[in-house]
Amino acid sequence: MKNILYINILISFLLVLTSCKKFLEVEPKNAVLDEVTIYDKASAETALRGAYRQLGHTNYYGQNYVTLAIFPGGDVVNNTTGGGQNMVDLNFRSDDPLFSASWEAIYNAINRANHILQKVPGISDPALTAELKNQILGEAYFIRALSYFDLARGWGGVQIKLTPTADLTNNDSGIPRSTFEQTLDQVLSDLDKAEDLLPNTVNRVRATKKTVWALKARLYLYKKDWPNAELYATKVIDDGNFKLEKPFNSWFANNRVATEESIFEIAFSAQNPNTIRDYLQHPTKGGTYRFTANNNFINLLKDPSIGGGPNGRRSLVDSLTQNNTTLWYINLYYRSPATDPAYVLRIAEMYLIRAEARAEQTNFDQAIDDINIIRDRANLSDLDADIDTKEEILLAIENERRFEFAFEAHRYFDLARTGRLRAVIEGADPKKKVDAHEYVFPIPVSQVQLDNSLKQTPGY
Amino acid sequence: MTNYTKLIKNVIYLPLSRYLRRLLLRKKYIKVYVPAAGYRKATVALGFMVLTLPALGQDEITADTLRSDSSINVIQPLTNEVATISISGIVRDSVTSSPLAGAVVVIDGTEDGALTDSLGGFEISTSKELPLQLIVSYDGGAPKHIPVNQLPVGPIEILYPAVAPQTQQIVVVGYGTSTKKDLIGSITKVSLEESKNIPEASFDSQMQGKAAGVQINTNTGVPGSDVFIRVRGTTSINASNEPLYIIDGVFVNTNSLQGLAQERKTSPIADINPADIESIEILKDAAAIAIYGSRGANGVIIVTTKRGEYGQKPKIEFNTSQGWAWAPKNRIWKTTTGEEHALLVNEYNANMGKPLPFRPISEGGRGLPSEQPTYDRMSILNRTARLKNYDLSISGGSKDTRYYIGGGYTNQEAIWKPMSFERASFKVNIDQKLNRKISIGTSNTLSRSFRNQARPANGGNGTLLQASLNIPTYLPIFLEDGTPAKWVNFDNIVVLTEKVNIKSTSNHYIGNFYVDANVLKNLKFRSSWSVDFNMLDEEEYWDTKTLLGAPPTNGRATSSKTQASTWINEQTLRYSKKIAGKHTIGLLGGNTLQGTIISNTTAGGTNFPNNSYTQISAAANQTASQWWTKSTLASFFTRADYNFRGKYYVEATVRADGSSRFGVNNRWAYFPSIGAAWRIKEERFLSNVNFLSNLKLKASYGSTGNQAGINDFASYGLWNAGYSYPDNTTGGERPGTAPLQLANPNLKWETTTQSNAGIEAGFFDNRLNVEFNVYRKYTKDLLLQVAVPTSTGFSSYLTNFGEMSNTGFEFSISSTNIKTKQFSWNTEFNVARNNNLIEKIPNPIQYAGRNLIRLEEGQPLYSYWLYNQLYVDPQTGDAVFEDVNNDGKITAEDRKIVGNTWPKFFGGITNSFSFKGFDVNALLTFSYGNKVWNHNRMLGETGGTLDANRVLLASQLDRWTTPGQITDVPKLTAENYSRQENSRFLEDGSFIRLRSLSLGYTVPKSAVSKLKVEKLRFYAMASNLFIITKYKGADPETNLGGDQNIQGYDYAIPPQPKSIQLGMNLVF
Repeated sequence: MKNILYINILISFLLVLTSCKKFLEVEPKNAVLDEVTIYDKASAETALRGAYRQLGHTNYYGQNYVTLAIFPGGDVVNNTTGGGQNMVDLNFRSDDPLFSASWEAIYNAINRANHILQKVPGISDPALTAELKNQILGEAYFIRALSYFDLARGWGGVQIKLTPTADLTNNDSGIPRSTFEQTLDQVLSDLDKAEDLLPNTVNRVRATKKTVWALKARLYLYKKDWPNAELYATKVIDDGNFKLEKPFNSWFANNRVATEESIFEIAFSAQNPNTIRDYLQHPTKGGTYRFTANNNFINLLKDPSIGGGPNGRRSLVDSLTQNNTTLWYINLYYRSPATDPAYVLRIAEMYLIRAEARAEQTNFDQAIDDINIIRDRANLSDLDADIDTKEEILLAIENERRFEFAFEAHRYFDLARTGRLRAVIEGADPKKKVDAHEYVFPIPVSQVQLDNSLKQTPGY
Repeated sequence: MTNYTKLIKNVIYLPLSRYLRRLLLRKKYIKVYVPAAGYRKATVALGFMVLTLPALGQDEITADTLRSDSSINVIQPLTNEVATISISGIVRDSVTSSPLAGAVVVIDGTEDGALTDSLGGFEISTSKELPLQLIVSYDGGAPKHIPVNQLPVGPIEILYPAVAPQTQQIVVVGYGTSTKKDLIGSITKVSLEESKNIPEASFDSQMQGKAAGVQINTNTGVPGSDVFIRVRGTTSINASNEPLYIIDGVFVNTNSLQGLAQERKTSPIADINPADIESIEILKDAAAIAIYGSRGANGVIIVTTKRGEYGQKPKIEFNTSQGWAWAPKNRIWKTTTGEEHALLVNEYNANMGKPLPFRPISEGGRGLPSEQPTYDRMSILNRTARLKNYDLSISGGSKDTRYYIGGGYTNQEAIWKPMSFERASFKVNIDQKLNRKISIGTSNTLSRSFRNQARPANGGNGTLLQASLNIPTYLPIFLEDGTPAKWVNFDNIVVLTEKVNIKSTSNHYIGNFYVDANVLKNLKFRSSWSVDFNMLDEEEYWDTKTLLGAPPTNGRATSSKTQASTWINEQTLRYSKKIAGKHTIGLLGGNTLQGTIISNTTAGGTNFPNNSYTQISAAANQTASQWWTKSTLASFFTRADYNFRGKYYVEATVRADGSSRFGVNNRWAYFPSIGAAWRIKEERFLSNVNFLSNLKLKASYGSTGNQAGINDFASYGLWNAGYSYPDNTTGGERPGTAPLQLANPNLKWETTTQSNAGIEAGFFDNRLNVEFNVYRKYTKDLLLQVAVPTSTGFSSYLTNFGEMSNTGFEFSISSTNIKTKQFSWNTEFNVARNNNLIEKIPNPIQYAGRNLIRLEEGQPLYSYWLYNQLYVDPQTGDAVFEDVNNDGKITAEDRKIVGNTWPKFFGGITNSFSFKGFDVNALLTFSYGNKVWNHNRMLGETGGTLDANRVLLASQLDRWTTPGQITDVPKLTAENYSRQENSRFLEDGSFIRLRSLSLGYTVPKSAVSKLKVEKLRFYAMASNLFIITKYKGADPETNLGGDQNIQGYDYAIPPQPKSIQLGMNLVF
C-alpha cells in the first residue's frame, strides 16, 4: 500500500516537473499561423480563391450589397420589420446595419487582395511561373478594383488602402477619405495593371483581360468619359465570346450557370450558397420572403409590351395564390441548393453602356440600335420612332436598365449616377422624400466613431 | 463516574452522522450521546467515535489519529476525594426545550464534571463548596456559566442554546472545509432541501433567491436551458462571466456544447441530478476564491454530492413527484382580433392617404373589417405540460467502506409544444480506507439528457412564436383545401408542433478518483484525478412541410456531434497544528494541471427522396465540417492560515496560473489575497452581553484572474480555410484561404481585485442571525473584443483594454421566529445590490439587432441605446423624441442610453413552518428597478405599417386617434413607426414572484415503523403561483440568450410556467 502512495506521489511530481512551458504550448488545427500563408504556388492560389469567395459573401454580392441597390430603387416592397423598410422609404440612417455590413465585407475583400498583391511578387517557387504569377496578381488587382468601384458608387469617395492590415492597435487610420473621382482613379489604376497582367482568355467566374474591359466600360460610364466607355463596351461586344441569350430568361432559368450572356458572375455551391435566394423566395418555396416587387412593378412586368411575355422579363417574378390573395415573389434567384450565380457583368450591360455613351456623344442612331438589340432579345418591339432627342433616349435607356437589371446591383446606383433619383422616386410615391445627401449612402456611424480620419458625408 | 483514564484503551467504533464527521474534520472536540444501552459516555476524535466502555475493552485502539492528535482533551478522572456536594440536573435546549445529551457540565475551578445522558441528565459530585459555578457547553458551542448559590432541592434545569445546525454548519471552502464561525471569506451555503423539487432541470436555477448577492434569472420556461447567473455582478465583456462550478473536486465545463443554430443554449449543468447533491457553497470574496486564482473571478460554486456513512446499515431513499405545468394565462400576449387588426390597418392607410386594404371584396379588397375572422394560434402552441420525477438511492457502509448509489429519472415537458427535457442519471460514490494511513475514493456521475427542442423565436424559419403569435389573427391556419397555410415568411404552427424537428442527447460523465494519505503527523497528502466528459449529439430534420425543408430544398437535415473532454490532475499537501492550545496554524500547497479538448463534426444534407428518409446518407446534397480546439492550464497554489484562540484569524493565499491561451510573454500571472476576521464575541468584554450570541468582523482583499470564454487561440495571428471557389466553370470548387485574425502576442490575463468587509451577528442564542457584506470589484485589462475600423478588413480584435467595476452590498437574515416542540417558523431573507460600471473602454460597442444594447464608458453593461420617446403630442398624435444634440432633427445622433437591466436590488424570502407532521415552505423572489426590453411588443406595435405581415398586439389599440388624447402609442403613420428603437418598449421589469410553495406531511414514525419505514412524507408543491409586476410582457425574467452582453431582452421566450406537483418521499 505504501508503494502505491509513493508511486503516486512520484508520478504526480514528475508531471509537474515536465516542462510547464511545453505543457502550455497548444497549436491550432483549424487555422494556420499567419507567418506561413502565401509562400508557394498552391498557397497563392488558395489565397486568391479566398478573395473571390469574399466577393460572394452574404454581405457583398451574395445578398446584402445587391439589396442595397434594389431596396431604394422604388420597385420593391418590404415585408418584414427591420432595416429594409427605411431603405425602401429612402430614409437612410447611418446606424442601419445594412450599410455597415456591406462596408465591412467589401473592405474585407480589399484586404484579401492586398495580401496577394504584397506577398505573391516575392514568392520563389519554380511551379509558380511568371505567367501564372502575373495572372494571380492581375486577378487580385481586378478584385480590388471591383471592390473600390462598389464602395465608390455606394458611398462616394472612400479611404483607400493598398497594403494588407498588419496592426490593429492604432485608433486612427490616418487615411482621409479620397474624393469620388480619386477613388474611381484608383479603380482605373488597378484595372490598367490587371489589363496588362491578365491573359486574353474567357473565364466567366474569374477575371481575365475581357472582364477588365467590361468593368472599365462601366467605370468610364461613371466617370462620364463617354468615348472610353463606348470603346471598352465595344471591345467586349466585338470579342465574340459573349452573346445575348434568347429568350430573355435563358441566361438564368433552368438552373443554367455561366451562360454566354455572362462576362463575370460569382459562383456559389451547396457549401457556399447565395443567400439572396432565401431572402426572396416565398415561404412555400422555402424562403423567408423579406421583400418583393411592388404592385406597380408587377403590373408593368405583366404587360407584355414591357415584360415581354412568359419567357421575357416577366419571368423575373412569379406568383402563387393563398387565401384568395395573389402573392408575387422575385424569381431571379430560385435554386436549391442556392447556387444561383451573382450576376456582376453581363453582355446586355455592355450594349446599354454603349447606348448611353453614344447618346451622350449625340450618336443617337447607333444608341437606338443598341437599345433595340436589347429590346429584341427581351421579346419587345423596337423603340418608338419618335424617340429622337438625347433626353428621350437617355430616359429609354434608364427604363431599359430598370427592367433588364431589375434585381441585380444596379437600380439605385443608376438613378444616383444620372441624378434622377429624386425625380423618379418621389414621382412614383410622393410620400417618399429623397434628400440631396441620399444620392450616396451614409458612412456607418460606428465607423465614423472608430476612425477619426473618417468623416461622415455631409447631410447625414 | 467512569474512570476516563481508561478511555484510550477501551474503545469501539460507531458510525457518525455526516454532520458530526464534518465537524471532526475541523478538529473540533465534541461530546455526543450514543443512544444504546450502557454506552452512556462518549467522546469523539478525528474521524471516529470512541466509546468508553470497560466491558468492551478488548478492542484495540486503531484510531491512530486519536493517539497522535494533541488537541484531544480527555476529561480527567475524578480524584478519590470525598464528595461533599452532589448536584444533579438536566440540560435542555433553550429553543426547543428538548434534552441535550452529551453536553459537558463542569464545576468551575475544579476538574469535576460529567456528560449528560440520553435524557440530558447529569450528576456531579464535588468537594468544592458553595457558592459555585457550573460551566455548560455543548457541541463546541460557547460555554454558559450557571451560578449555584445554594444546594438545589431537586435536579436543576439548565437551558443551553444548542447551536442550530444551520448557523454552526460545516462550510466547504477551497481545498478543505471550515465551520461558519471560522470563516474569513464570504461564502454562502445553499441548501436545496426545499427547492430541489422546483421543476427546473438544473440546480443553479433552483438556487434562485437563496443566496445573497447571487443574481440568478431563469431565462426561459424551457427546462434544461441556460440560466443567467452572476456572483457579485459582471466583471467581463468578452471573457466568461460564469462562476466556476466544482462538482466533487472536478472543474466542470459549463459552456453549452450546442452546435445547431438556436438562440437558446442548453446547459451542461442540467445533466446533474439535484437529488444527488448534499450541499452547495458559493464562494464570493477574494479570501474565498483566490485559491482558485485564474478560475475564480466570477465566483466559485462548489457542489458536494452525497456519500454514505461508515458503519451505517443500508439506507434506501425513494422520491417521486408528478406534476403539471401551464402558461400563466393572464400574462400571455394579448393580440388584436381579426376585426381590430383590419381596422388598425385601414386606419393607417387612411392616415397615409392610401386605399384601404380591408374594403368589400367586390371592390377588390379583402372584405370589411367586421367580416374578418379571428384564429387562435397560441392555443395550438401551448399545452399543459407533464412533469415526472423519480429518484432512488442506497447509501451505507462498513467499517472501512462507505458508498452512495443513486439513480434518477426526470421528464419535464415545456409548456410549448413540442419541447421537453428528459434525464436519466446514475451516481456512485465510494470511499475505502486501505489502512490507517491511506484511503482512496471515487465519485462518479453518469447521465444522459435528452431534449426535444425547437427554435422558440429568433431568426426566421422554423421558429415557434413567429409561426403563432406573430401572424395576424385574421389569417386562417389552414387553407381551404386543408393544407396548413404559411403566412409572411413564417412556418405553420400546426406543422411545427405536431412533429419534433430537433433532438439532442447529452451523454455526460463526471468522475474523480483520489488518494488521501497521512504522510507525517499533521501532514496530509492528496492526489486526485478527474475527468469531465460530455458528448452532445444533435439532430434535426426539417420536412417538406416546413419552410426550411420546403421544395426545392426537399428536406433538410443536420447532425452535429460535439465532444468536450477535460482532464485534471491535482496534488495537495496540507499541514495543520494546534500549538500550546491556542495557536492554530494551517498550511496548504498544491498544483493543478488541466487540459480541455473540444471537437465537433457537423454534417448536413438537403434534397431527400421524401419525408420518410431523414438520415443524411439519403440526401442528394451533403455537406460536412469539423473543428477542434484545445487549451491547457497549469497552476500552483499555497495558503497559510492562523488563528489565535478562535478569536483572531488571518489567512493569505497565493496562486500562480499559466494558460496556453495567452501570448508567450504573458502566460503566467500571480493572484494573491489576504483576509482577516475578528470574533468579537469571544472577547471578555462581550461575554456577559447575553442577547448577543455572535459577533464577527471580517475583511479581505485580493485578486483573481479570468481567461475563460475566450478563444483558445486568441493570441495567434491566424488564417483559416473554408473559402473555396472554382478556378473555372467546369472544375468545381477548390480550397480557399483568408486571414482570420491578427496576432496579439501581448494578450494577457484579465484581473479582478476585490475588497470585502463584512459583519456577522447572532442574537438571542443565535435564533436571529444577520450578515452584511460590502464589496468592490475592479477589473483591469479586460479581455475585450475591441472594435476596429472595418476598413482594415477586420471588425475587431481581442486585446486587454478597459476597466470595469462592480460595487455592492449583501444583507441576509436568518431567523427562528418561533420554535416550540410542536410548531416552528423560520425565515430566511436576503437582499443585495450591485452597481456595475464600465469604467473604461476605447469606443462604444453595440450588441443585438438594431444595436439595441450599447456599451459605453460611464454606463453599466446591458444598457439600451434608444430614441427616447418623450411623449405623444396630444394635438397631432405624433411621437416626440428627445433631440439630444439639439440640431432640430431626429437622427442616429439622438440615440442615447435610456436605461439598463440591472436591478436596484434583488433577493429572496423563504418562510418555513412546521407543525407536528406538517411543513410549509414558501419562497418569494424579487427584483426591483430593472428594465426589460419588450421586443415582442416592439414587433407587435408597428402601427399597421406592416399590414398583413405582422400581428398587432392589443396594446396597439391605445394609439392616438383624437386631439387631446393622452397616450404613449402614437398616431398610425409611417413616420411615427419608423424608429423601432423606441424607449417606450424599455419597460420597468420589477417583480415579486412566489417562486415556490410547498406543503408536506410526514407520517408519524409510530404509524410506519412496523413497515420498517424510517420516514414517509407526502408533499404538494406549486411554483410561480403569482407574480406582481408592471411589466407588460409575459415574464420579466425572460431573456433571448445568445451573446452574454445581451440581457433583459424579452423576445419570444416562453414564460416560466405555473406548476403543481404531488410527491412522496420514502426512507427505509
